[in-house]
Amino acid sequence: MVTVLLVVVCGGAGALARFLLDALIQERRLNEFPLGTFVVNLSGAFLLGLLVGVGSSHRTMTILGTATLGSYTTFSTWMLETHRPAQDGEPVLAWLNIVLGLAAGFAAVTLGRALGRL
Amino acid sequence: MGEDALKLTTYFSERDRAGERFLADGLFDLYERHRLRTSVLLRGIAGFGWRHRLQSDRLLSLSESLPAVSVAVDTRERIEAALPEVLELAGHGVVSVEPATLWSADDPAPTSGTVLLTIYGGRGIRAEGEAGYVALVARLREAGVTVASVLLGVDGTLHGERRRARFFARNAGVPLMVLIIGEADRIAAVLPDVASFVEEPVLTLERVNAETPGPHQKVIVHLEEQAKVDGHPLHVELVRRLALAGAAGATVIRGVRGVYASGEPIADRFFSLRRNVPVHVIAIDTAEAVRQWLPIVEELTKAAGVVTISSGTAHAHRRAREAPPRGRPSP
Repeated sequence: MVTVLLVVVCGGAGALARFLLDALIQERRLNEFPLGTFVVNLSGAFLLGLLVGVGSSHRTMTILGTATLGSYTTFSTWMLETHRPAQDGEPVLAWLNIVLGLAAGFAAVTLGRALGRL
Repeated sequence: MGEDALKLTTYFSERDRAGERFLADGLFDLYERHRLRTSVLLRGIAGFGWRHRLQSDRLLSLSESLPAVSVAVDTRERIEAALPEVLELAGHGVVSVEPATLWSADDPAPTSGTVLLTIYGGRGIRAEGEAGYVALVARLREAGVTVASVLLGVDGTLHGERRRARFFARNAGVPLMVLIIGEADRIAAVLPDVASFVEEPVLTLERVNAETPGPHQKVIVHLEEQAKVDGHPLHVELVRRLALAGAAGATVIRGVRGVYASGEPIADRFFSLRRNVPVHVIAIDTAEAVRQWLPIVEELTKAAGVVTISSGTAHAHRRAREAPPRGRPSP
């Protein structure tokens, strides 16, 4: 029961952290690249890698991994913000967002896990 | 020609409030109470205001409070009667008042120059198995107008009656707005047919780029959503450059169907990822400020886009006038 409550609270905190960080990054930017979502997903992937690397318990993974980082990172926004430039006829920007997101995300998890194991 | 009228336009953010409720609801209740001839609420897709905070439907975190535009048209006396209440409500919004001419079938048609015809009316008419505005765009293309764009409203009044869109409804009565720019004789050829495509139409005619007095100017770039400049969408680039140049604000609205220079009608297609619909970038500023940033607009629209300039009086909230922009956005 305590775990369920922690999932609710930490899930909310993760979503709130994303909301604030994304808004902070995008506030004064006029560039077209969706940097806010990119930074959120990258930092989330790094932290999840770190959690796995330090050998977190099943319960820690549920609360910090699934709940907190799960609601902090966002796949749907990444896809939506790829779809919009594709609609506007900017295939380069759309592909860049996908490829860069995948490559950097994979690298972030790898780095996080490696650091966690030190 | 026609009846002396005023066009009252309010630019604000979707989530702006007037007291306990949304500003949009407050404005349209007011228009309903004043039984204004016509009014329509349009939802924007991007823009920025006096705080230079960008809004855009391209990014989730920037689309929480997109710009909204409300347009109301009636005779001079009736708009002037409603204006103090609108200013009282509008808060941080910008309210502009421009001269317009209400045109009726008894009035002589314009004969020379470039004119802007705006049609307001219900979207309930079906023609050839499709929405009436589809046939209207085809007719306008045939007539050889320069620009035509159909914009769907989500709230409004028509001949004094409130017409509000609902989520699960056909919304046939909700006003639409059609912007048409063209040579006077070509526009005149279409005038008699309008009522067969649009329900209970209200028409206004204005000369485009005529020298009219007024301390403020409104610049509109009419373009296709797929228009590009250096590989970037032109409407995105216009907003970005206007913000960098310190313009007072800009609002981008998107139509559903249109035609440019007698090309193929443009509209979204279900199986096409790229969307091509009419887009309008609207910027209002003092005449002096417009002189400073207009060259940027002219340079960006060399290859695509039709620019119209009109004059009028804009009212901004006291805070918006006094507070300098809080820093420029980074490029």
